[in-house]
Amino acid sequence: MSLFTYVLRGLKQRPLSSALTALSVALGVMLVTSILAVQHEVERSYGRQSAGYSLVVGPAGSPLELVLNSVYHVGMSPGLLPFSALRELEGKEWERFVRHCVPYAVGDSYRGYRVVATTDAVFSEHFPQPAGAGKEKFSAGGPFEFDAKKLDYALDLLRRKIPLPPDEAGRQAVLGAEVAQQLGLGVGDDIEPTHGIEGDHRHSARHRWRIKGVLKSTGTPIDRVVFITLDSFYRIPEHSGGRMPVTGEPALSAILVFPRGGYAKAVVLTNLRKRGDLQVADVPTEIGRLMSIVGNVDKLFFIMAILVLFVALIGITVAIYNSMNERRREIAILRALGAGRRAVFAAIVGEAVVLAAVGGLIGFIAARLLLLGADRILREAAGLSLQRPEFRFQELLVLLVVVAAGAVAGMIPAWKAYRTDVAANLAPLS
Amino acid sequence: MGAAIDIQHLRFSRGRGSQARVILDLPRFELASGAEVCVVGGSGSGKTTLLNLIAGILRPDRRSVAGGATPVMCVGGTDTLGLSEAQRDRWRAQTLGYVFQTFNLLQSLSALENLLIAQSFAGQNSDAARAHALDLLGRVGLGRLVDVKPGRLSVGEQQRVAIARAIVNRPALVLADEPTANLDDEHRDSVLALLRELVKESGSALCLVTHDAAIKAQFDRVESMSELSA
Repeated sequence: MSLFTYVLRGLKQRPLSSALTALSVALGVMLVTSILAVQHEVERSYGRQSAGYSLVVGPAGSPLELVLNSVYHVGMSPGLLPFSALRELEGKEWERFVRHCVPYAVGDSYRGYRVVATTDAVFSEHFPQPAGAGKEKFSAGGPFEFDAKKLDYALDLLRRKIPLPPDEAGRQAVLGAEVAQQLGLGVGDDIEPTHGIEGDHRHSARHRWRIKGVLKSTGTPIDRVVFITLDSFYRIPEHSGGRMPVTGEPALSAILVFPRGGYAKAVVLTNLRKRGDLQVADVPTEIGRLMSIVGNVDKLFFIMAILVLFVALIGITVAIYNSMNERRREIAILRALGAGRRAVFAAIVGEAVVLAAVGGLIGFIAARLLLLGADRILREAAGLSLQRPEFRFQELLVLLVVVAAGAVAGMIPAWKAYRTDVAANLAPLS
Repeated sequence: MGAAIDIQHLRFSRGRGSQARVILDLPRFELASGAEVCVVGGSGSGKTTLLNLIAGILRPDRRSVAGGATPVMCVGGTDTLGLSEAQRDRWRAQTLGYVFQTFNLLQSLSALENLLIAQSFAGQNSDAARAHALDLLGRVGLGRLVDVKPGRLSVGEQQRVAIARAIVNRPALVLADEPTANLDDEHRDSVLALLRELVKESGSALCLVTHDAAIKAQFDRVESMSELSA
């Protein structure tokens, strides 16, 4: 029989008070650890997911919106930019500075996953995710067949406002790893994308795209993307009107630009920033900007969570202190049996520590469950995956700090117990 | 081992300076090892104060009584006046058993745990100690109620647990403060008989204070608080 057993029995003797006190600590710990985990995951995910990207060229507007839409595949596309911008960046004039360009045309979706129309440039070794080139990027199948001549033909018809004929064979798709896994799709299956990113409008003509390959899992937003050929995108009747409003030129949503180095990147940035018809967004800069905005909100939430935790710890003091009046006799009995003042002090502090530790553990587990529950919401809203949030030393530190703070919270009632007048409290109650 | 109790020139006051009021003034009080004494006195005569002084729960006045005689308080062969508070706590756990009028059992612990915690304060945590506690509860007729908490025991059963707890560390001295005051006549006699029997078996001395004449009549040595006090 140890003093610790006595502490546990005492807490069991007051189940409601003990449970409520521990739960209030749990709430505080849950908030603090959830916010810390989300903070960490945001920084980790946004950093990792944008690794390898350099510049995004798009229509004039918010550069952050452009980066979020093009790299993270969240939010709305800021608008359209002329296809000629791609030809320009791929041309002789920029050859010294631009190594690689990947055009994106967005606006469709398949069962909640975004459809991105592009060229085979997305399967190049210069495109960062998944690593490798061509078939190396695939877990099954391979790249879709891309015919530049077909695209040129489609663009020509678009410019001349002539309806594009359907091309059954050209409707090919490549799936991100998560799309294939979640929807149970594989090479050879057909999909029928719908118009709009919410996926609630069917195209007027029911066309199917044949899946040619499934990309390797990257843990990035690429896993949640369906890639289709750009010319097949333009052949959808609703998209053939997707031209620049004034010039009538075929349009794109964005161009991912991979410069030849730091100096080349600076040149591209400087020159494109002078242009009024389009904008260029520096991916790392925009992510840094996003992190600073998110960071300020995080700080506010974190301070609020700390306050909740602080109030919960005061709750431990109040709960134990209030119980001391009815426990003075119990303390006196312990002393009469030979328990020293220090042992009594330790027992009361131990009680507070147990409440804080139990509450802390419940809060920690609740935070993990909360993160799992919020995974889908965060994935759709911000492209974040919290399915496997890392266990970090920081969270262990929160638990240790809460237990230590619990010990401090127990010291006031423990001091009262320490000073209990043994003789006076052993006397029969009148 | 010396006498169970050897007290000389003991004084206990409350208040300070001119406000001080002498509660107990005891020129001499002795009890041999393994012996019994019944101390009688009315309410407020200082019986409980005497027991708390013997137990080291209260501290006597430091200054000498009138005449310059030095206070002496040896209990179970230990000069308790020379012990620090922490030493007294340890000594109390190992040397004394205390039975209270209101039993003073720890309500959050079972009957057995009430004995085990007393043993743990005396540094006895072995399996043998646990077996002894179980055996003792069996001896007081509570062998089937060892896991029951005090709140679910009858008054008589609670006092039996309290007696077993006082004896469990085989103390040199058992102090009993009106141990039967809350019991009816039938239970009073059986509980008192049980207490005396177990105290005798464990070789302890017994100092029992009461105001009950029926109990007083059962002891060979009876001391009155008024006669003990100066």
